[in-house]
Amino acid sequence: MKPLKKVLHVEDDPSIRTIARLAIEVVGGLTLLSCEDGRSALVQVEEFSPDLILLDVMLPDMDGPAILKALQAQMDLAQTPVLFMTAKVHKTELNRFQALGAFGVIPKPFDPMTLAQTLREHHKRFHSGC
Amino acid sequence: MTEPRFQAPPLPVNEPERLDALRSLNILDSPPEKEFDTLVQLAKTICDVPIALVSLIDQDRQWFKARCGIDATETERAISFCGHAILQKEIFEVQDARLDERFAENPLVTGAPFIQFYAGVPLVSEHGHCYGTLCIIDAKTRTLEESKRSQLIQLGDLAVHLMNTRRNQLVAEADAAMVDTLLEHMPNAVVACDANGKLNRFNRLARQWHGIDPLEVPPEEWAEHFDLYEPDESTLLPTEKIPLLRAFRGDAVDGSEIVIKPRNERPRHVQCHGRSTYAADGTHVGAVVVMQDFGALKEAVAQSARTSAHLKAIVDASTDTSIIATDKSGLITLFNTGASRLLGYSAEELIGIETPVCFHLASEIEARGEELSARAGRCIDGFDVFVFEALESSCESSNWTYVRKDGAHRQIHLSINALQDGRGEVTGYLAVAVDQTEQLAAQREARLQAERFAGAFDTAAIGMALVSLEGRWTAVNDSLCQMLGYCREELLATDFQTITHPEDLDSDLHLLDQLLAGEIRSYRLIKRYWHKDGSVIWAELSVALVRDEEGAPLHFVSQIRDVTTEKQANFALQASETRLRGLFQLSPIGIALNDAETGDFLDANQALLQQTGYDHSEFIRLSYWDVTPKEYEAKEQVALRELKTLGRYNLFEKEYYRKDGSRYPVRLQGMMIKGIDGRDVIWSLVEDISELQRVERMKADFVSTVSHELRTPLTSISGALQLLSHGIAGPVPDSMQEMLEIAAKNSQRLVLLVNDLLDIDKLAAGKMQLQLAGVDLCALLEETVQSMKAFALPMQVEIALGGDLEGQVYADRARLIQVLHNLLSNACKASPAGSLVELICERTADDAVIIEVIDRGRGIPAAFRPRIFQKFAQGDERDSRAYSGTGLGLAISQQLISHMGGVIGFESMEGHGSRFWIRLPNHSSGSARFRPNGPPRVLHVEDDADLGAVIRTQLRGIAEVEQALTLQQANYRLREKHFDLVLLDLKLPDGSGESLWEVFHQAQPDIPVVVLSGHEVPRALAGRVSAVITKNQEAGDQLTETVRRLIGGIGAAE
Repeated sequence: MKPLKKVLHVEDDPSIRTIARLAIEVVGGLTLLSCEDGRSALVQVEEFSPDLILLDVMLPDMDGPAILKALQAQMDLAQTPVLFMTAKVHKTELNRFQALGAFGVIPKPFDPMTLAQTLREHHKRFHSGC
Repeated sequence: MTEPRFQAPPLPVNEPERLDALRSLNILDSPPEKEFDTLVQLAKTICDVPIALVSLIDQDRQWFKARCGIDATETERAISFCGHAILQKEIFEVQDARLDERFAENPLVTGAPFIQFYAGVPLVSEHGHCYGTLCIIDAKTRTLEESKRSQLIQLGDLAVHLMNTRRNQLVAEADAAMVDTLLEHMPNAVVACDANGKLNRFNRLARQWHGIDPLEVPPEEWAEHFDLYEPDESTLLPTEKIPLLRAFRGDAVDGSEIVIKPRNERPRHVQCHGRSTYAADGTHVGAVVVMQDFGALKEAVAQSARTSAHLKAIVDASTDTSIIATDKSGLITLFNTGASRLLGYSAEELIGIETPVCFHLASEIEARGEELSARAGRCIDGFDVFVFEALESSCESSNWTYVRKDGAHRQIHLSINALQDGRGEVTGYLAVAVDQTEQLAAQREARLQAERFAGAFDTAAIGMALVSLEGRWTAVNDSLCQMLGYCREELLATDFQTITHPEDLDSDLHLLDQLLAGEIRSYRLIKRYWHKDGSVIWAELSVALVRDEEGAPLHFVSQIRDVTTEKQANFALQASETRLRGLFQLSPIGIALNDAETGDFLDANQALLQQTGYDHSEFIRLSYWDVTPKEYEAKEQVALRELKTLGRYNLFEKEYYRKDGSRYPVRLQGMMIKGIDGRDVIWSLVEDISELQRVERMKADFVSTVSHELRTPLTSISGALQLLSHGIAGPVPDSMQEMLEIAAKNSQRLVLLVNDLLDIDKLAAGKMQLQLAGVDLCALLEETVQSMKAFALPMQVEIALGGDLEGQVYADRARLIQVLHNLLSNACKASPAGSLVELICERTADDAVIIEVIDRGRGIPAAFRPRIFQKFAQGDERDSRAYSGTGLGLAISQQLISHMGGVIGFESMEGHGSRFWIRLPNHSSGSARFRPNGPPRVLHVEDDADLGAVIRTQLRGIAEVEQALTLQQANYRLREKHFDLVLLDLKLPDGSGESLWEVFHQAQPDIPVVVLSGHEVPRALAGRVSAVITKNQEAGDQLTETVRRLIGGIGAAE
């Protein structure tokens, strides 16, 4: 299992993108590709080849689940865990996300000091087959 | 013309008697008879003459009974020779008529038959009367020889004998005819036989009774032939017993009874009298039997017996009339049922033993006796007192007092009749008594009533008056004078028409007319009078008409009650009614009136019609059930139950059908009242809450949206602050670090607030979904304590875990931790520095899990306790500032625990701390709210152990009762286990039951609480608990009834 290095983050809110960049790059020391919508993410994802994909759920035009569906259609995600980042943490939603093929959920608001660590744990669990 | 030379015969001296005797022979003008013809033939032959006659001298003629030799049947008496002859005693002989002065020129001499010789023998009766003659005549002169003369005399004697015999025969024949007629038509049957035993007489009745004409049959066949039977109607009469035969044989038959029963006819009982008959010379000539219809007689006797029995029955059956008969001396001979009833004696006790004196009042008999003695001038006493007057006038009536056997007195009206036999002899007395005790009492009562009426009239509180038929006041009482402001004299000088308000006069007069016409018996009217001062008096007038015995109207009796005040109140009521009607019509909330029995709409206001889309007439044809969707029936039943028991039903929400079939949500509230006609009706407020619900939904959506929207910037803010304060964006000066931390902490608080808001929103919307499962208690609690340590640390509070941590609890793990976090953080915040917060776990007997969080802080102020589980509730302002809380924690906790099937509660003592507890089931099948099995449980909070025992007994069979003597015990029990009902006294040694209720109701609002108190129950509380029962004697039934009702569903489950 290769360690977590590259994270693709799709988020429309620029402030949150900034916070996430600081949390992931500065605090976490990971490489981040931050996209403001699904379209640009789908264009860049294959070239960037992320180890983990973090999708905001509520997005204009194409929401998180839609992006996930498009990603699944476009490439092989067998080695890439997809996490949703959402303020909605209803059990039903979680089940729905899981059914869609998401591996986990990061609740909003997130703690920037621990976000990268959380991502690493998810990545590790994904690959250990838990 | 010269007189012929002859002499008419002179009349005999006894001429009238002679004529009578002649006529009595009944012979004149009778047809010729052989005996007489032979006689004259003999005379003619013997005397050898051409003519012989039997001539009878009638008044003016001589008539020839027999004749020969001439054709004439009569001649004038004047020219007759016989008229002369009857004057003689001997034969009258005229030898030559031509030479006799008396006859010489008689036409019978001078003409045919040219009589020259005549000889006539006078025919003289035994009494010396001469009827006429037997005479011979010749046209030659002759002399009658002596021999012929004596022969002629003998023939004359024979003629007289013939005439007498003839007369006797005629009489005998007439007699026989008369006897025949008599026998034939007599009312008895007569049968007779002749000397040979041959039937020779059978009169009309005999023929009729026997049904046949008599036939010649020998006596031994009579019985059969004539249908004769013994009195038993079936045995043929033996020959020797046949009455006629017996009589014929010489028996005297006197009243022997036989039966004549012709075939096909009803038997006839006859009584026979019979004798042999003998001729004058004593020879036996036959027998005769007279038969009398005995049946008619018997019938008459039976009829008489029946009449007498009938009378006896009447006497016996007269239970209301006492009938007593006595013999002449007064000894009782008859004592009927009525007498027994009246006097209490039986007939056996008195008949033949006593006289009526024994049941009369002695003093009355004495007094009457003295009175009668004075009148009669002799001593009259004892029984004679009663009958003295009856004897004089045969009947007497007067009033007496009877003394019953039991000593009671009865006032009676007594009529005494003297009983007389056929000869007018007094044989006894009949006393008929009618009890008039009640009647007299009624009369007395009537008299008293009249007196009382007079008294009541004068002193009555309402106006009373007698009014003449013309309307004049004839008697008025003080109240009426006072009411109308007149003095009595003024009022009596006027009539009611004058002081009646003109608008009310017509209706009053109309009713009076109806009363006079007998169409109504009385009437009642609200009318107005003028007070003397000119003001209007409203009065309720009741009028009745008094009539005399013949029914003619006498005067009116009026009762007049001043209802001015009521009337004014009524006006006010009407005004209020109008106002309320206006409110009803204008109310923006729908209002409906239903028949409680049928559910039919009786009325609906505009707002309700608008909601439903019906018009009024359509709507009131509907029933409640027409507008109610089926699925709400259960809710309706609850409301109906409430109506029945409480007279109102509390707010509940449902849907109504509109006219177009669509539904809309309504909120209902109502009460039941008695309608004017005694029917139960339900007033309901029907609020259309579709708009309200829309707003609610919008609000919920808004909260949800806002909360989500808040999270995005919050994520940035708190993230940024975190990063800053951690120096990720570069080093931060100390002076700035503190500010950053404040900002970070408050942004965290905002995040919590938003999370709580979302939780509440979800709970309220029913969208909270819990993952219930068996959770390992120990791990869960340890994790909770661990995660709270960091929180408690700055407050210098230690959290200690204890109790029974074995096993599992059935809960949503994350949410249970959330609740415990909330309780623990509250406890930490309330605790003074250095104190201990305990987290203790226990198991109850019901195998439920109780988790308690105990602090030693300030405690919860009493005023706050009732609101503690409400949203945004905070102990006080200080708290919310000093400790960052959202005010939603306990509200969320309660909801979550409730969703997990648990109960949350608390106890607190100000200055000593608080104890919050959670009771949760330990497995999925159970619920901490409802005990799985066994009878319903009632907790009785009451410090009087005796009363507790009484209640426990009263509720035996309905519920299992546990008693808590103090609030503390009550709290403990309520925490320990589920109760289906709480009976609560308000005065307890360690506080008020009311405070317990406040907390308990917060924690377990579904469980009914009944206040059972000897004191006044605060109105606010009474309105909110399930029921209030006052401790008194009647409380028992009410209590069992109430408990049964409130826990009914549970009891039924067993």
